[in-house]
Amino acid sequence: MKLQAKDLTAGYVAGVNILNGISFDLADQEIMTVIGPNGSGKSTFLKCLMGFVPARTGTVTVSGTDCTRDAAHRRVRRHRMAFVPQLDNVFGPLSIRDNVRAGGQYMPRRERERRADELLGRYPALGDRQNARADSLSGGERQLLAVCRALMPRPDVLLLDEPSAGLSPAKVTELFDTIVDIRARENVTVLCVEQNAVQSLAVSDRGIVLVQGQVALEGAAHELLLDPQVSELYLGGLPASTPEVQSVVKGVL
Amino acid sequence: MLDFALYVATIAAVYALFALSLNLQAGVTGLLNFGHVAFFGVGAYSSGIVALHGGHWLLGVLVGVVVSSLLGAVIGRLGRTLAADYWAIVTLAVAECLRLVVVNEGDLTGGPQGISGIAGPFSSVSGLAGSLSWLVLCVVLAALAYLVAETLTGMQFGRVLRLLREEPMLAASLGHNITAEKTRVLAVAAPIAAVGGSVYTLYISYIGPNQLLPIETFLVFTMLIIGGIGNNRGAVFGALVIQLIYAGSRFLKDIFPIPDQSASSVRLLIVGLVLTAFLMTRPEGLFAEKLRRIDVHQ
Repeated sequence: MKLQAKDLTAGYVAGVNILNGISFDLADQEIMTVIGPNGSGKSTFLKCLMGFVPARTGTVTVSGTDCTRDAAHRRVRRHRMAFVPQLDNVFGPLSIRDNVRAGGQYMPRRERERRADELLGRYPALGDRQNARADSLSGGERQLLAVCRALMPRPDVLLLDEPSAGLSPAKVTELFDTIVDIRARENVTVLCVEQNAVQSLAVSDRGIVLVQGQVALEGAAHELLLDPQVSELYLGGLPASTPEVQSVVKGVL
Repeated sequence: MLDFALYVATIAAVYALFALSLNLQAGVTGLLNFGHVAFFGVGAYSSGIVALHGGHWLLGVLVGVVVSSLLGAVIGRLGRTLAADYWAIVTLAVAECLRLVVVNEGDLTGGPQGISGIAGPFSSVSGLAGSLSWLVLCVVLAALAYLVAETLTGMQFGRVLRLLREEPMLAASLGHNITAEKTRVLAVAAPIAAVGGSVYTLYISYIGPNQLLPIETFLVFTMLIIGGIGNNRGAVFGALVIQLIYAGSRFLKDIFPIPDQSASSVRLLIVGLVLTAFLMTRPEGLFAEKLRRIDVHQ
């Protein structure tokens, strides 16, 4: 397993757990989506996996190595994890290229430049304007830039916190297509916390539904899309038989 | 009058060192060090104690630099387990502990009376030449500290420090070790304040526990806010402005019927009013923090 959590509990206030014993496995190069209602602990879950919120009990392992007690920077450098925070995650006054390079500040200079060229060359929306300020980009392009920056050190595991937040529907589709493309090119395992359940599950292999800090449902993404309970609660009330969901499921299958 | 002007300029240069050091911590990195006076005190008492034991003044300065850097690193490491607000309280506690040690360890520190008669590099030079020599030394030191601070804030290290201040989670997710960076900046900034403390002690030939009161730290915060927090030039000008206010307020009692014993309170009142005025009308200070300029090609 590439990323594994066992009986993870965490919280901010003494005696109150936000995560209540979460366990899951994520295989190499899988894409997993985490959905759940507001306050279910999705963001805390991601922060706990990344080491920003310490686990009270349980373990987190990456490629079989326990990293539960490691600080976030160590998870980035030693365990090859990458994290893309939600919104405001680019350095507006810096150029697009500088933003990408910021992701590899501890890489050797030549390798950093080569890697930045590679990533910027792959995405013309960024590469064609690499000397422009990052705050001149649209929401979707900023998100892509934040992901590219996270990819600089060639991570094994990529954690995304609501990457589609604030994007138009067309841009959301584009972004999720890009995530699939990144998985294929970078051989990276992706865990994505999302509100936009239909489109995120459509590009995922597996999914988790979190409720009150616990895994309420877990399974293949297409199965979750067809689950009436999930459909009712998280897919905007669309019954599984409606053409919208069916077309997505067909696409997945 | 010339002597007084030279004295004000010299003290302003000493406080510029103090302010530049705090600016690296609070202005650039966002570390609210409420016990900053401890670094000044370590430098000041190192010089005082070495002088008391017949050591060369330069040895006192060196001891102050080394000890303050170690103290800075230790205080920085406390940030590993403490949240920013608790860390700020701990820094205040460390400075107060240091002051109480100074008050109670009379054999070493002179106790509440402090250490007097400390010989400095220009102790044998009297009159205008002596005052000018001190001024030149302090201005040169302040200029060197300014160059060090500008270099540090302009390089990669400075950008990382600003990132820690603005987005600590993003900094960590980019692989930066937050505790290590904070420790590093404290270990570098503390000796600048310690040199200020040493020079101050050597200049006035005296150091006492009253110079380690928390008000000194808050006075330097005022200098940063007035000058422009996050801007090294602002730190220097803030120190100058506060010293001018301090110096100018001495003449108030010649104009207004202020009793001598109230003069220091009036001085603080004026500083408080100026601080409030700046916060309300120009919160970025005299010199706003410089952001890196880049060419924009759309």
